[in-house]
Amino acid sequence: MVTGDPETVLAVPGIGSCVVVCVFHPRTRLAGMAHIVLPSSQGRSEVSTKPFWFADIAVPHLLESMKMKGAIRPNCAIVGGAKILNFSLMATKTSVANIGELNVKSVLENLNGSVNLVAQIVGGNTGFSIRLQVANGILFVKDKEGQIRQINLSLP
Amino acid sequence: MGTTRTFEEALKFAQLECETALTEFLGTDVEFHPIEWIECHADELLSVVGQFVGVEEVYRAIVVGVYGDLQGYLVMFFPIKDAEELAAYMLDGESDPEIQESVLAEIGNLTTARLLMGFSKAIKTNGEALPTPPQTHVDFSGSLLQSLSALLLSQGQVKVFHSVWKLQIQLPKGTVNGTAHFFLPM
Repeated sequence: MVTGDPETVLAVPGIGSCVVVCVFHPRTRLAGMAHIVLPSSQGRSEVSTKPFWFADIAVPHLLESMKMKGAIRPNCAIVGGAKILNFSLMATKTSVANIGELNVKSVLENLNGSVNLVAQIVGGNTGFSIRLQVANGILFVKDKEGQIRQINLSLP
Repeated sequence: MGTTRTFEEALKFAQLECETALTEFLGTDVEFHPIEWIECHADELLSVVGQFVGVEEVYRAIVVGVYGDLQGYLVMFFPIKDAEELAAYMLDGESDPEIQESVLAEIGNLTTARLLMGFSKAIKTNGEALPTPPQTHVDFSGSLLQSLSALLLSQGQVKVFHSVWKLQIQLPKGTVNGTAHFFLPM
């Protein structure tokens, strides 16, 4: 999603193994967000109905949407990729030992140096809740203890 | 995996099993009310479960996986204060956090075992369904549910049968409330 509406706040209330890519372009005041669930669309039947689950589709699409509106090389923060659930007994059957780590790796690969990466709050084993204010490009990242980090994505 | 009637039967058996086991284990009245069960898409867990818990609130959660012939996940959410009161009651005042976690995990263990017993009475299975060791978490319910969605989707389990129970445990100081969510990929 890409918007320039200053009244809008882009929010994700609970991030675990997903990775949320937040972008803001200081000159155009455009903001965008992609909520990545899985690292790759390869071999996935859901790609036609839910293409933006996948990092290899959602990240390039987000960057292209920004670029089409004149927002080239936006500031960016990525949040998530935690390993919260650890079902090794079940995971060994399907090779999904750490979805969060795979999501982070795929997001970074697909960002491919096309952004100014301001912050990476990734990994660990607990979740976050985030809000990105389009009005000023401030990203609020709240952890489970209630601590809030502010990341300024509006600096040139 | 099953029909409407099979699931209704399974839920009825599971309710009785869980109420009896938890009441015996805790030595106090435990009510285990089925609220609803629905079929949903794995990426809808946040909105479906969000009707019963605050997705941006931090809970004490107990998560148990089921593998083998029947696969699924049990997630129990307790408000932090309720979980502390329950652990204090069970431990007679013992305040070691690790021991508290351990006794809460045991509730997840017991509930899963009895749920499986209830389901196995209704769903005829050929093999074994075994629970994983319980995991306890203190986190945003949204983060846990979102991670579970991703896990199910990564395993190609797109449709999920979700049943919700409300738990009420009567303690001398008052009632402890929680919810239990059983997710069965279909």
